[in-house]
Amino acid sequence: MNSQFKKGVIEMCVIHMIEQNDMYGFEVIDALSREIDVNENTIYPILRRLTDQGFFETYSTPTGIGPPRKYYRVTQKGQERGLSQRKEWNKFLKGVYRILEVEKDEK
Amino acid sequence: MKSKYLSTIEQLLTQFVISKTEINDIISDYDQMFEDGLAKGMTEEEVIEFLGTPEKIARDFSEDFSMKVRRKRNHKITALMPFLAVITFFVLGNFGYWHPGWMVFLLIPIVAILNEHVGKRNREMIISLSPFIAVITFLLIGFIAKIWHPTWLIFLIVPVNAIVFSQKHTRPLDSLIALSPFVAMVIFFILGHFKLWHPGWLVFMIIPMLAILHDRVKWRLWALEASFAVSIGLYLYLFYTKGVWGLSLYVFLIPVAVGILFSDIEFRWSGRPLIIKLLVLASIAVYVLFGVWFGTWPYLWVVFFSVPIYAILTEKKRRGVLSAISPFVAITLFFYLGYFGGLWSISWLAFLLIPIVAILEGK
Repeated sequence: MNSQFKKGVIEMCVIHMIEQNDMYGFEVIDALSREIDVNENTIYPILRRLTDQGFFETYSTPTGIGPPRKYYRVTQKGQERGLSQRKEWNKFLKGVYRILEVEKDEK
Repeated sequence: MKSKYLSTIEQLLTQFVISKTEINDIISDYDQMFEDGLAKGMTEEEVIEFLGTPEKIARDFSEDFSMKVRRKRNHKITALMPFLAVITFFVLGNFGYWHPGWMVFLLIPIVAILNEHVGKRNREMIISLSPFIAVITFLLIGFIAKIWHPTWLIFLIVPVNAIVFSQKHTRPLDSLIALSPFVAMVIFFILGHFKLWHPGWLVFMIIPMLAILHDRVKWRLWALEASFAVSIGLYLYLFYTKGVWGLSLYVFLIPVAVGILFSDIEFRWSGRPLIIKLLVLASIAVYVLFGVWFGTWPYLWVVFFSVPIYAILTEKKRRGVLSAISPFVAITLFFYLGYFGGLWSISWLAFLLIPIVAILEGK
């Protein structure tokens, strides 16, 4: 799969996951890599980029061991982005399925 | 191992234009994720494999930061070029070479493009440079050898390069289809040179005929190809025996009819907005009525463009609208300049509007 396309999908999944619950970095990478075949090391830069772009805000909580844990929370801008991405994705998938159905019928 | 891991990441990150605070923040995040991995029961090696080696991490960050390094350095060269060009121009002028010495100014955009593409894929650079290569070649041959014509054909390298080197057209058939308008233009021009503008324009039929090759249903593919071949044959027969070229054009409704019959061309009437339906009916009415009353059959067909143009204007996002409309404008200009002005030999230049608009619109 094209890496840029994959990154776009990962970005959408990351926003969606954090929309459900505030999450910390390791948790995001762990949860995502369990569901999707993805290079784990590519997820953190995406998380960071989305934060820089204002889609997430962060807050820290002490853990007792090691440095405080940084949690990511979706901002209003992030919610809007997530919604528009999901709409685009659904529209895209519908088109793909329509094409695949047509091909199946032809065979 | 953790501290070595983190310090290697830190060291690699300092290669980028990135603030110390930002590096510290990233290192702190990796420190925390490393601890989280250990807390999950992973070994240090497993954590490193999970989070990525420092080299992999740096590579992933290079998309965000490396460009800043290049741009900062290259901007200086780009900014200096206008001054260097002026100095070179006056030096050359002093020796009596004002012309073609002025061409050094073309170096300004060329250097900017070269700098912008340092470290990037060569094909992007070739696409960007081709207009300047074309201009320089055209002017040099024109001024020195006075062969302006047909040297202007060199400008075709601009769209041809863009197609050959673009990522979109990787399959040979796709490249062939994309190149076909330009191949057709060259053949059309050569035929025109021998005063065969007509029926030389029929060479443009290779465009749809090649596009049809995409059809995976073989019998339909051959039916459509045959319909084109029959139309071309009929058109030539009618033209040379009856001498009416305007009405003879209607034989090209045959491939349209074949396309509709075999469902390759589909009209979806239901579900369309009322305004589109009205526009279709109005276009048909205008075309038929004006045709009957004023004999405008050969050239008023462009009225049908109003339907797709309206759809584009109302359905497309703001970005890309002009690019989407430009083929209709180009075809209209091409046909009207040729039909009313007899300028078939140059009216095809209207098709250059399409890539120009696309570039201006940043597609």
